[in-house]
Amino acid sequence: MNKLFRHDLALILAIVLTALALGAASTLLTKEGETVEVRLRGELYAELPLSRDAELDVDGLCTVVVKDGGAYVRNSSCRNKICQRHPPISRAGETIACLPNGVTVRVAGEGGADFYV
Amino acid sequence: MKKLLCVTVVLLLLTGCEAYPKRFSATYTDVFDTVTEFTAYCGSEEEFEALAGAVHGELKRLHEIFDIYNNYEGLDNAKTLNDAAGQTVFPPEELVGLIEAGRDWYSLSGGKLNIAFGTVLSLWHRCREEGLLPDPEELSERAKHCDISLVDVGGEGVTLADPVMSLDFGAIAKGYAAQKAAELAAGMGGESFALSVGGNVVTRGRKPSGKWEIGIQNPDGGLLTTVKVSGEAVVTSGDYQRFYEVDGVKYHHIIDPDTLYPASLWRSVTVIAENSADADALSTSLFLLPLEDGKALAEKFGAEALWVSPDGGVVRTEGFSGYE
Repeated sequence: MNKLFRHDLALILAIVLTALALGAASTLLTKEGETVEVRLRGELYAELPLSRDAELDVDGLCTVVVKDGGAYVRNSSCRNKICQRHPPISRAGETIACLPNGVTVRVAGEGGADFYV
Repeated sequence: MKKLLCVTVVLLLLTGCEAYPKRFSATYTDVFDTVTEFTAYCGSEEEFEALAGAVHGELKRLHEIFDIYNNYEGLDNAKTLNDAAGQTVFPPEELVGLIEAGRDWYSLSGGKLNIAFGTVLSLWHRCREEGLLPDPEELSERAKHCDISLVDVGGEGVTLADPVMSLDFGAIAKGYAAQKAAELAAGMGGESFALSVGGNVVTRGRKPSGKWEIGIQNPDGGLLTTVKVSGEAVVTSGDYQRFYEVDGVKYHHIIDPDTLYPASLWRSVTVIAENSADADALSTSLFLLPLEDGKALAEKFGAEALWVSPDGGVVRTEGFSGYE
């Protein structure tokens, strides 16, 4: 085989493998980086990674809890507490809302459905 | 061979920098007492802001017209009409149009979807806020004032001929508004977007990666299935969406006009239709109708539907699985 061609082939193979490795790494990193966006009256209030347990007080209106990869709402000051009864969310696109307080919690990122109905 | 190498490198570089438009999202909590989400693929943030602003503005405008709880200065809206029952009111054409649509849906649904059911629904609404159950006698008394034939639409004026009656557009307003807002965004050049007004989803075009994916929730939690759409509207009516509990019993928000209590035929009904206004009215109607009647009604609109029964069983129209 022509020497130059062999080197070309090796280089192409190396580039393709590197690209695949980078692609895989980026996919893995994206999954790890999945977050919940907490919004107050439409404005971004905080972003929490789903991978780390946390509790966030949203202006004294409610607490957003991240636990075991899921997010839910606790201690809401609203009257009907619909937000508190929502089971934990973890798939991209899932949302919990507390309308009286104007708080929404949404799992960000690609991979899930665009909306849930 | 060098050429081959160059081509490969260029191709790899190209895949790394996307030529596609970017995905943007906005969330609103100030219209139709629900969460509204607008997602679009746009070339720039400015382009998205213009689209989202127009969609939000249109939804706000329609929300004020169909609002039965608040007055707005200089606007004869649904609350004005209800408060002035017995007198003639001249509301905006959108409200007249929605009343006419409501009358059509009353006959299409065999009386199950009734916009003149406001007196009964407002009692349930109050009880839900207070965590109480309505007094059965008061429910029956209020049900005497739900005769939709007493809603007179003449010229541009509307009269509720029964002075006690009131209208409630909860079953049809969100789908109608979502449709109008989507038409506005499409008219402004929006080619790839999806709008959800409290679960009334309208889609236009596709995402760069394919069709829009709408997850259908299982009434008991988790995901039942996912439908892929491009241009269609999707909506679900379910007993798990708005409910409250009294003594361990759940009471949800879709009231059967014949029993005056939450309907119990289905746990949820999902509808896929061309038009969001139809999809919204269909999902409520189908939630209140037996399977065969619901199937016949869906067919009239070329719509597909999925029912979840109380025992967890799932029934689909023939074409529904084509979207899964």
